[in-house]
Amino acid sequence: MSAFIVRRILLSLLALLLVTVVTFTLTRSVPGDPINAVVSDRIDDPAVIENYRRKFGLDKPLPMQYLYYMRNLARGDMGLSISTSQPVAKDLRRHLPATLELSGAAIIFAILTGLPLGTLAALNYNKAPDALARGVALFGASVPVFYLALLFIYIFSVRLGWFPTGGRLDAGVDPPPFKTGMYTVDALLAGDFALFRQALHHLVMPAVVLGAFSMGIVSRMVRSSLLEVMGQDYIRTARAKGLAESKVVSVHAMRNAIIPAITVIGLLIGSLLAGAVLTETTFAWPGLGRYAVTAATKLDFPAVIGVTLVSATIYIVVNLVVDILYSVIDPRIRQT
Amino acid sequence: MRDEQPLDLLARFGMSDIRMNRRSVLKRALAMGLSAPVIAALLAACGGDDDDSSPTATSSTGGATATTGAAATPTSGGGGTTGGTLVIGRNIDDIVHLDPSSAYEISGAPPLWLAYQSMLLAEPDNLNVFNPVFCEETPSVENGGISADGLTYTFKIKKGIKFSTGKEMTAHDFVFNIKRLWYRQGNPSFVAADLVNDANEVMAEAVDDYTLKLTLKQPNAAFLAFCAGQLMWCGDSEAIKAQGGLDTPDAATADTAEAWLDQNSVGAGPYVLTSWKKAEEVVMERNPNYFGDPVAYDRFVLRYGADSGIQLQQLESGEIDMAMELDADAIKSLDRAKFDVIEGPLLNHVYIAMMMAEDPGGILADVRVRQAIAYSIDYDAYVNELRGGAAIRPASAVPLGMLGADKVADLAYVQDLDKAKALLAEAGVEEGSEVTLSFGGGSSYEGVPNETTAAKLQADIERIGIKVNLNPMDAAQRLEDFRAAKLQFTFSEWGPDYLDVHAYAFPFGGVPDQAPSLRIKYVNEDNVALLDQAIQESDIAKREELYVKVMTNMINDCGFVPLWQPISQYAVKKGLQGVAVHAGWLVLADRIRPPA
Repeated sequence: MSAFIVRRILLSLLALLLVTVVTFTLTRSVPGDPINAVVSDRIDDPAVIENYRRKFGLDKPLPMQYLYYMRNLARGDMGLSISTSQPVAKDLRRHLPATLELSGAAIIFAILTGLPLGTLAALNYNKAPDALARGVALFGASVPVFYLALLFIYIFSVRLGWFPTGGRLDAGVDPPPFKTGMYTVDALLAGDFALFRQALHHLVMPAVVLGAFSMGIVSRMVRSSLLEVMGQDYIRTARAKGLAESKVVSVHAMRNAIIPAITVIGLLIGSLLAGAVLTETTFAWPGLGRYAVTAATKLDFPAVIGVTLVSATIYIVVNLVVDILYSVIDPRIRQT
Repeated sequence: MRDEQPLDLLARFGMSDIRMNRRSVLKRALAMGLSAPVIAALLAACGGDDDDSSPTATSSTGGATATTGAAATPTSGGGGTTGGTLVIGRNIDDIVHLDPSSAYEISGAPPLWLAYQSMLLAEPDNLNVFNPVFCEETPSVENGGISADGLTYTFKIKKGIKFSTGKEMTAHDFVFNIKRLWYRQGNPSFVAADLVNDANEVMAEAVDDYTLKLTLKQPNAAFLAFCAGQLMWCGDSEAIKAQGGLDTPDAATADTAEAWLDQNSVGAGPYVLTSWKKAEEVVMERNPNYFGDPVAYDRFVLRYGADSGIQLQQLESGEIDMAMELDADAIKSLDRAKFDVIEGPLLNHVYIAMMMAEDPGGILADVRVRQAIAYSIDYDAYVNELRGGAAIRPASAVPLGMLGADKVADLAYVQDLDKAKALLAEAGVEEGSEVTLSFGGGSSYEGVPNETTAAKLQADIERIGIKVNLNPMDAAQRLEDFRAAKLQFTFSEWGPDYLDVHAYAFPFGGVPDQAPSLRIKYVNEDNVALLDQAIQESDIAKREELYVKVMTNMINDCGFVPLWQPISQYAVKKGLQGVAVHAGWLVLADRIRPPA
């Protein structure tokens, strides 16, 4: 097992190196000079333009820029963002936890609702609860995120006033002391329960919207998987032994039925990061998605590479974790 | 302020590619019946209409409310209970810095006014008169504040003004801040250029603690306008130095105060910056040492709202007190029993630019063809349909509100297709001749998508027999090509760097090497001489006469034709007092008071 993990990590590092090459080449190949993003075109003074080029390292030949970038990266310095004038690492430190908090909450919502819904549907095959669960899953999986977001905001914010329209906290409220950057977690760590409630209040609606699609997928996956498993011989055997139906489902059936769902959840985490762009925009959530869009449109290559590296790392780690989880849940996989 | 970066503009009205009125989308989607039963049930369950459920509901007076004009409500008097927080919604994605030596973004204006104010102030209803803020009186030749040769400006600073740090403001602080602004060599440094001699020395001097003397390289009749802006943003020099701020020529690389000043302020304005979270909010607290009339609110928050739809929802849900960027549809949808609309003209304008040189101008190199195009455009449609009536149209690239702009109003091009065709015939242009209209795709100017503007221009111009090829480009690339004078025909936006006619007449007047004139290779030697004379002319009437001549030439040369000058509309909670659109600062939020 450990050799497997070490091999995967080494391959991952190679993949990340390739990511830097490809991203750097692509961002610098598109037409347009990144300096246009920072120098107002009212400014003709070459001294000012040169000052900005020097500041962002754009005064050197392209290959040298890449080498300098990689040298600094090896030291943990991801460069200065052209669009925000802040160190990329500092920007990521602020935006990444926001996305992780949102995606994490969304996936928790998806699992907590998708799993029971799928189970309910499978255990009531072709009955009313099945139809209801399938309807909810279909709605979640088929309605576009932006539309659902608009709908929720209109109903729950504007009409009912139950939730704020966006942002991570109320206007002017200071965030909790930085520990993880996830406000709900940090508020709890600080023992500030009022702030925790407020952060949670802001998190609920975007998380539900973002997680709705995943909820639908998980629910359908669990349903079909459970239906298949419930028809297996060993389930019949378990019932013949006189086991309670709840135990048959939870211990024998679910253990096998959950494996495809875990694969899907792993993939969904990746898609949640991508899907978060729209949700973050609609809910004014200052996450990685919005940061990436701004960076890309301003040819802000240090920020683009930074975001790409982080996203790639998350994908790789999630895939690794999923592979390990397989073997934990189903020992037969480990043996092969 | 400049021909804005595409994203600067996007930032003002929403994300680049996700630009939609959310309410409209929702309404359309609902109309499709996609989930109508669910929504109907939910709405029925919540009961009532917006009036019942909105937390912002105020006592309704019934009937529509009048839209007030641009005139400011006085600073003091009136208003309800003080304290609390004033929250204003705007897309603040464009803010890159709040350090007074490097800030140069539009959305930074309101908080920077609150933190630093300026030596002088032009009132929203009269942008050509500058009133003293930190000085005892506005310098003039009559009071001895301006030397007879127009080269020296002396400001007598009021005694007893304190920074938020508690230290008293002196002339030395101004000298430090002006030098730092220049030597940091950032986007806004040019505003100090007139004070810099050939030896790169900044000619700002503290004669004594309360006397500031500024010496210009050459007379500049617009200099007071500079003194009402960023040139005179003054922070506590000792506090800035303590954070690594420098006023020496090596400040461009060695100054380290920027990061701190992006998050804190040390000015003498009514509020103190306490935090700025990019694309989230700017938070300010009341400055206990403020020398002026007490402000009504303890806190000020400039809250991020990506676009008109989001700001409308924030306003309706009670999260913000005022929305700065509602579009025409959103303004129409406002419940006037709950919200007022305050409007006033901005000094931006959206203009078309036609290349004057043969390469790459082609047929546009002929002034008659440019004029024919100007006569082909249905200007009323841009104002009334694309901007929903929230716009006016100046005749030249000098916006209405600036000195002399109203004097040339009669010269504005109006749609006259016969005249346009006659001009084309006179120029010998054949039917079906082509021009290429390049524009930044996926972005917008003042809330109007560029694609819409381009399509409208194409339709208008093709009515006189010129075929218009649309060339949507990456917005940054378009700007780069425009800068390099590679575009035959385009449209863009311009805003003021300082509140003076010269801020438009000079760059648009055909002065060689001045953007945007150089981008269409526009040279008018008469204007060069007139502008040189005008900038040195202290007599206001004579000055106006000179600029009117410049504007007349600009209109006749027809390189730039303005399409519209937006009227900004701020939607505010019913009864909020003291709100006014300010063309430079956007809003003077320290004057806002709660409803009575």
